[in-house]
Amino acid sequence: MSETVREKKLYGLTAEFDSPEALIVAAEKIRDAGYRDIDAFTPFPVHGLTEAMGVKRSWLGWLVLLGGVLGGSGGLYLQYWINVIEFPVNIGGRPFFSWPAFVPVIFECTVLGAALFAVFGMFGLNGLPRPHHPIFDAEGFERASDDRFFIAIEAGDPCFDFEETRRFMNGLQAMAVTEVYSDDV
Amino acid sequence: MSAGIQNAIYRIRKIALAAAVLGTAAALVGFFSAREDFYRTYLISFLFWWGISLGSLALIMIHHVAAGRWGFAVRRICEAAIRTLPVMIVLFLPIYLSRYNIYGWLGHSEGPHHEVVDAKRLYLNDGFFTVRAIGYFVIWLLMGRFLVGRSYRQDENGDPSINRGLARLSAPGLIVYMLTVTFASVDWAMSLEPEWFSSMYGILFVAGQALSVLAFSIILLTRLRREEPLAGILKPVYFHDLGNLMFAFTVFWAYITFSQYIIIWAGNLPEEIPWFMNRSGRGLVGVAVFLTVFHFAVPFLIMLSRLSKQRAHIIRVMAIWMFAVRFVDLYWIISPAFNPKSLHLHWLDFVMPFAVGGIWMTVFCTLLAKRPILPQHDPRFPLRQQEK
Repeated sequence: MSETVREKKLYGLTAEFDSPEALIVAAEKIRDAGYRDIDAFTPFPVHGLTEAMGVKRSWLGWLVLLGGVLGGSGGLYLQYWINVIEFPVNIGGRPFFSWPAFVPVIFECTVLGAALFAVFGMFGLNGLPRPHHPIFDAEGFERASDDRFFIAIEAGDPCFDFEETRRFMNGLQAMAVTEVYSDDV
Repeated sequence: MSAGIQNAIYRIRKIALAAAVLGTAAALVGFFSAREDFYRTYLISFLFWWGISLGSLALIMIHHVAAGRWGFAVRRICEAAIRTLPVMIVLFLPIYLSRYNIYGWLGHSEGPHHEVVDAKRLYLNDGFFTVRAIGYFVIWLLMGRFLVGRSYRQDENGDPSINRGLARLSAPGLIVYMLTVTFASVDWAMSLEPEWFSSMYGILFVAGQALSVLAFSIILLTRLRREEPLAGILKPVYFHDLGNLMFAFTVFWAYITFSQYIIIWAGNLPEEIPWFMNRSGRGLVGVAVFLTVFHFAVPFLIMLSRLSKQRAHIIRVMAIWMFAVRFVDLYWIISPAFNPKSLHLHWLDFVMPFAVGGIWMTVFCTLLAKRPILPQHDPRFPLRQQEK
């Protein structure tokens, strides 16, 4: 399957486009050809790209929900423990467990928990932090943050066959199709 | 306007007209048999439907300032709702003419009116009340006329500079909207209990109006979603946008409602707590719990999910639900001012919303059917974008 050339491991093949529309058309073709390990690189978020690539829904949302629930219940428990168990103080004759007063803190802790889980969950799911990625070596890749749109099919994809995938990508009307090798073998 | 849309709107109008005729007849019976309940339920129903006209004014101004895909199909609905304002003036007349019976501070019969109310006489007097009511309607009518007129003119001449003019009015217009709705809600609702005051009160109505008009728009659009040209743009992502807004205002409503509660609860002052005491008698606590659970918690959890907003049939159910609980919220705010400390229900409570709503909807549908359902030449929404 994946060949070792120049004693480096093949990361995959990239195709370069000059417009988001062309990228989406290509992404749909790649998706329909059965490729799954694909990635796109664009200077700005392109609407409809994730659908065109057939990306499965991330479960980050569930992670954020969990963070919110943990944060909120943590905030409730913290206040309960302080005000009822550890240091009960009679404030204006109110019950120790005065839930209305707890709500703002519960709300804030929910937001905090959800936000932390969202940020660090996103890092975790994306494998970040990661100082280097083979795609950086792709020719002209710096323009992915300027005016070019890249899509890559990774060599690890079950459907990947160097010659055939290359031929397939050449048929996508890309501006260029390049091989990308990863340094760490 | 395509025939399909027009027929669908006329079908709704037929139902609305029936509700208006039957409802008005029943309301008249109520007027002669249960005067007190008539005033109470009429005020609640008026405030509800007035809120949709006014909420539309706000929503369309937000759209003119901030733009966004979500406003494209909502625009004509809001504009038709704004154009019902002259009818709202007529519908306000029964309240105005009965003001001495509705607002205790205007009547002379209330014996021990505290000095608190007397100290507010500079604001709470008949003349100023009248002048303010006229002022509100004049301001809303002028704003509505400008917003709707310009938008329609763009349909005809396609002048792209009209967007600028609309945005330029809308930014200060939103401030004027906030102020007038705040004062109007103080005049028409908060002054039912003239000794009491809350600085949260106006924004409570603003949040409610936004929620009502979003729910209303979603109900209407999900109903019309299969008709061209709406079918072209009402993709799942469109309802996702509107659903997100409805979700946001559901949270905002809860935030405001709870903020008012916790400030008064924490302060625990004798001049502030009666409002909540009057709303926590037998049965009314149940209504409050109902609102917490079904105006906030349950809709919050359901609308948290992306799928619930993208699937037209689910977001439609949610919108109908939010629309209905808006009544319950207004009931809880207004009704105990007339019948404190107890859950007071009359058959008029169930009839009146349909009577006023029938009249409103009949006019609304007539106005909506007259214009193309989508803006024709707004450069921010080129028609080719619809086909996508």
